[in-house]
Amino acid sequence: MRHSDIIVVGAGMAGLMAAITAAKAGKSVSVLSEGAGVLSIGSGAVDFLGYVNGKKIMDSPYNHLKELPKNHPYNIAGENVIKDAFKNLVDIAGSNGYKIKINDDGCNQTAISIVGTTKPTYICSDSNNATRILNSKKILFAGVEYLKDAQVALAVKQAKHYKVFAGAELEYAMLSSPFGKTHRVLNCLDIARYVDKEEGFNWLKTELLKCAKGYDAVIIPPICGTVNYLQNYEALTKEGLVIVESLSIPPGVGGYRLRDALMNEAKKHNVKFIENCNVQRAVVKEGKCTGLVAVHNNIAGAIETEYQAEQFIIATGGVIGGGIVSTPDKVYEKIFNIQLEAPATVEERSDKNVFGSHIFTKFGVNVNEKFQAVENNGSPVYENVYFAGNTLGNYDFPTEKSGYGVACVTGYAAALSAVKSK
Amino acid sequence: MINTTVIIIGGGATGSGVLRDLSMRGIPAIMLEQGGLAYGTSSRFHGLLHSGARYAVNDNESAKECIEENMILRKIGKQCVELTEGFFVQTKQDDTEFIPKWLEGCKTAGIKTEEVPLEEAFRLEPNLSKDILKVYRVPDSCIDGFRLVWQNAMSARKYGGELYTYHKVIEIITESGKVKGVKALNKVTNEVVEFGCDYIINASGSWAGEMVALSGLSPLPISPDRGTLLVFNHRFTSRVINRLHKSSDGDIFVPHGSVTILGTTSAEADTPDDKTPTSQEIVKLLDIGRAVFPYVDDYRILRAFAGTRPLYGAKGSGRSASRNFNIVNHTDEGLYGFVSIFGGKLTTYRLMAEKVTDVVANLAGVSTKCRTADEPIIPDITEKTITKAKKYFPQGAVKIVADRIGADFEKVLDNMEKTQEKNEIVCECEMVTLSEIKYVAGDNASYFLNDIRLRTRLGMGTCQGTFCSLRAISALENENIEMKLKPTDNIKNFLQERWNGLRPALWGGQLREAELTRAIYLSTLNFDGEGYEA
Repeated sequence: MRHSDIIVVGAGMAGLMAAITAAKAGKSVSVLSEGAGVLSIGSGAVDFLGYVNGKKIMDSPYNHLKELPKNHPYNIAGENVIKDAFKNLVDIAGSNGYKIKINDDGCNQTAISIVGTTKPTYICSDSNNATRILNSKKILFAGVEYLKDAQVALAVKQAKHYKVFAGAELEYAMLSSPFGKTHRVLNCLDIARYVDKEEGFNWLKTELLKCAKGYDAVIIPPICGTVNYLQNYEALTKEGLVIVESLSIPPGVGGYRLRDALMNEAKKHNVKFIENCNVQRAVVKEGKCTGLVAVHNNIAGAIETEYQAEQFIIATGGVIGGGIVSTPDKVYEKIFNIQLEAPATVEERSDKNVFGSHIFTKFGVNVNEKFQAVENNGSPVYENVYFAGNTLGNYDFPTEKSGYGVACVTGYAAALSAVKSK
Repeated sequence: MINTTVIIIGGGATGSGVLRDLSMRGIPAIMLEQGGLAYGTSSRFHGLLHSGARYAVNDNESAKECIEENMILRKIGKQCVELTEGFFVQTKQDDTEFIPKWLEGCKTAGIKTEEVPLEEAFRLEPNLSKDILKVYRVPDSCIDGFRLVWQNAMSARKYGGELYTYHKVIEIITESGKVKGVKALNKVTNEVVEFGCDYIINASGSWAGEMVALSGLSPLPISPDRGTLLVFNHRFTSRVINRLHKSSDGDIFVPHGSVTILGTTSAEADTPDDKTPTSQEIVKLLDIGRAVFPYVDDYRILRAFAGTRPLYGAKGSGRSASRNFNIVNHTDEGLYGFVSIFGGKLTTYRLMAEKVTDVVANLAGVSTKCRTADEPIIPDITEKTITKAKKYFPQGAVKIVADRIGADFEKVLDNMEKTQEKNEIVCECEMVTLSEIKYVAGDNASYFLNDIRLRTRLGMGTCQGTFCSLRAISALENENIEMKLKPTDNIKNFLQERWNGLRPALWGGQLREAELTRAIYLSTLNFDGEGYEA
């Protein structure tokens, strides 16, 4: 039996923000996680709010919070907490070697995806921020031979549809593969790891200098490195290269960098990480949670362990992370078995249009302003259990473009509540 | 106006079998299909090559046809057939008195049965319920319906047959009691195309009644009956597993490549296009399937799909309606040259094609004999070709790809040798390579990414297109292969098609997958906000 002040379940954006916030407030914190979470495979761009009811936001996202439902996690947290959470995130990442920024004017930045689409995001690294090249006259999309997820001919064709590139000449080129032909599938992370090495960096520099001549900017997949990303990016900039890294489908590399920075910060504050830890159920006594029972799968078989703490923060990632479970007849939160409202039939849970607005995406726990799960009458289910991230209901991160933004804010907010609690 | 001797309506197994048979007999023919090939029921069934044992008691004549055709298809269509064999298993719920009747029926029909000791059955199929009482072995097999249709069509082309996909027949032209031709709507260009002919073979399956009505004749009593099936993300059985009882819902499991199919329900359908499965049907299938595979709920459901069977007889007769096939020569009703064929099963498609071709050949005064029972649909590839292919394809994929591409495999290889092109794997789940996609995309019957999917199995594995559709479209773009839709629309169209099959089974692990797809296409790639950015 192990004991901490606070246990956080889940090591994604919400879990890590919660763990760091609580640990910085002087609490002993353990993070129980099943795997690395989706943060590590994401693009690394932190979206705040890009669209409300399908309409694109052109000014500060803060001006549009009131258009979101009252029970939207942002409105539960409130504007001040959102600001603090984002500032904390930027500071933490920056002091751990991953420089990310909010636009000076407080509006969304423009990022470019690996297929040439553009998208609004709020916090991203200098290399992901494409706003600075939107007035360029000649832009090159560079791919890497055998890197299947970066098809630059398609990206150019797609980008030509956009107003932001209307005045620009768009072309594409291929960097020669550093590995030659491989039968294994090459992805952005493979190349980024290679670029972390001196040999790999020299390859990238040479290849880019070869093809960038005559262009105002070069858009490349996210391959400037993982742990050495910042120094590589700055060194390439010093060579006179204007580089934009596109946002990639998994593995997106940017998410890996961000997670690495957050993990470093957490370790500085003695947060303990217990991995391969599949939390099954809660031990509840007199309306309070006293411990969580987790299964560890190892060669000896499945071993059950109970972890005890004063406060618990649940950041298990909702539908996508497995924190919210659905069956044909019910939907529930996995650890505490909190039954959630869901339409009577499976068909009603989703829209006919694959990219439509689906009810299932909003499945999640209803919380009060302390981020405690609440009963229908508004009273908290457990005084010492808080929920954060996608385990919360009432928002749709893919259509709103609020992915990682809600997670960052609510992880931070749930930890503040847990720390304040007696 | 395009002229030929015979127009075949319907590009399913029967239609493509007829096109091949006519072409082999030297009779000019054109096949018209309203969607892509195998758009209807030929791509929407469990993929079982019947031994006939399922029909041994109720419909012995069908059983006999099945076993005979089963043996023929093993020879002529071996690239489409996986020789798995099948088990009939008796669960506690199944009536013991049925067994002697069934054994007798199999014997009469010429279907070999053999009792398998339970210990051996459980060793061969460890996931089977240990409550099973008796197991019999029968010569069931698995068949790839898409591939069968395609290879028939390709073989027919070599003999001069032609096919037009996405051409829906909207008018049947007659003159003084004789067939003159048809008008078809090209669904891609919206143009109306006129075809002239002397004979029409109506092989449109569930749409056969509709086509007869179009000709002005009194309608045929054909009613569509919807069957829903489930696809699981595991091959948890190596054999076809049937329940040893009277035909009923949810009583068959069929392994296919890396997945397993559970079927089938039977419910009256309003239209032949009624292809949307319901979640209640899926839950019902799972409830029934549990008696055979107790852990059926633990496997992720990849998708559900439904097809309609053309049942002949009074509406609502369901399982009791005949599964036999029928040929109606409408010459007898005063329309010379119009022949309908409907009913039957995919297993007996060749026989059906032979019989209806006989009728039309007779009308046309052609006496050439049918050769489809002897001549393989595609020739075997040589050892030399296999050795050569290993240079360009991953070792394990050579046979899979050769079977899929069929007769043109050498041509594809020659082309690769000439251009020295890279041959990347685009779809990792199903081992589909770039050269294969390029080859299929270049076919004039390929309009959409979906057409490529049907021929290559692209996007039919565990990711259900989340990763490979993007790569396939990108790859086509790089190779400057023009598709009829713009790239982003092509991907949406492809994912939408997959979505229709996911929705009714959207829970558990599959819901997580769906959310991952949204995270990629909406959150990272902003496909839904695209309009605003433009």
